[in-house]
Amino acid sequence: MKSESDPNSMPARKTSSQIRCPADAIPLGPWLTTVIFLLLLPATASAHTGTGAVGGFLSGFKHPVGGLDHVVAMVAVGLWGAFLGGRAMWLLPVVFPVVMAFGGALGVMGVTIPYVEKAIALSGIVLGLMVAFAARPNLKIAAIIVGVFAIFHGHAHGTELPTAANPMTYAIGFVISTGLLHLSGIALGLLTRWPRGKIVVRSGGVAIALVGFGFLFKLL
Amino acid sequence: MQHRISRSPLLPSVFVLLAVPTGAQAHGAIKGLEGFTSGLVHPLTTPAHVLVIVALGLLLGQQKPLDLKRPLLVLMPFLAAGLAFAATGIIAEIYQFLLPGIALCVATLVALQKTIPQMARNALFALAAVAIGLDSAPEPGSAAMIVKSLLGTWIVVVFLVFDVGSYAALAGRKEWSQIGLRVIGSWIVAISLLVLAFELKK
Repeated sequence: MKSESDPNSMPARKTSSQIRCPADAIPLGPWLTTVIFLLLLPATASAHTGTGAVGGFLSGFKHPVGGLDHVVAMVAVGLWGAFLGGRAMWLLPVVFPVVMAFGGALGVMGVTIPYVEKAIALSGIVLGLMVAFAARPNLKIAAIIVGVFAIFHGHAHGTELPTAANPMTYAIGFVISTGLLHLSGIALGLLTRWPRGKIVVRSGGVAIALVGFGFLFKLL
Repeated sequence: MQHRISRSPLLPSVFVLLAVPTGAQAHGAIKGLEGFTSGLVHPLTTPAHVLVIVALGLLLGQQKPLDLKRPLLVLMPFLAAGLAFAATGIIAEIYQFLLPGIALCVATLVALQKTIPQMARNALFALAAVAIGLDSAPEPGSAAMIVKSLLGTWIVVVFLVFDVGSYAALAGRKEWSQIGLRVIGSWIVAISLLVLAFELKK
């Protein structure tokens, strides 16, 4: 039997299965083997991810969530709709994708619109402030405000379209992604049913407006 | 005390390796299909057909008073005629704006929740049925294979339009779900607009 107090004795090497650990600790040995196995796995090559039907869908789906300025504006539309309540909650998300697709079509066909990036940043500020101040204008005015900004958002997406993407599945992914952002805004906006929820939603509006300011003055 | 798991050090590795996904193979399952199954799957794997079918179904379910029978009685022969014409091979490819254009028109009516006269509705269904039929040319093969493939397409299109229409009619009983149908309609409008723009750019 080896004595721990013997300074001349060589420490016996332990195999991974022999490593002892406390009862409540996970033994490292098997997991180390797993990690080594995983490191040996080859990564799948992902060339031309934007091509084909599936690639087109994924490319379109990722596009609207790729830019913070776009994301906050989409969520703001849903938040504002929920704040306005009633028909407005659904009218704005119906108007936005249709008008945005029109703007996207202009972008795809190469029709130039000036100050697109500034207008997108401005949309964050305006829509964010509408939520922050709990503004309740006439439904038509709200739809016009949302519609005007939607053209700029759509145009930006249309001009950045990857040429290799499958047009149909790209459009499907793009519209579904935008719609889901609106729906998440509406879901968050439903917090307005509770007094504290209103504070949270209005604070969200302030945050969105600040992001808009950040993009307008190129701080973000 | 030794932990039980340490007795089989390879077990976690095996579980993790089983969880590693294999590479997806696009169209792998469809390549082997032929005849009836191929026809059955065709409209489901053609996004333009899916858009038109869903839009037609939603329009069917939104109409008041609800009438599922007559539009389907129009759809069935016109779809059969379109498919039969496609099988002759005279038209290799249909006008590229046709299907997105039809989807745009039908989905706009859905988004606006418009009830249209029966005559106009029937004309829209006939046009859509012919367009889907013409765009579903079967793969070359024996006459029996072609007939089976066309039959599969015919069945699935009729079934899907009726199915979507029935569910849309059921959903339309509640106000929030009526709005949901309009939102889906607006999404189809947006998709069709973008696709038309892409086609124009080509």
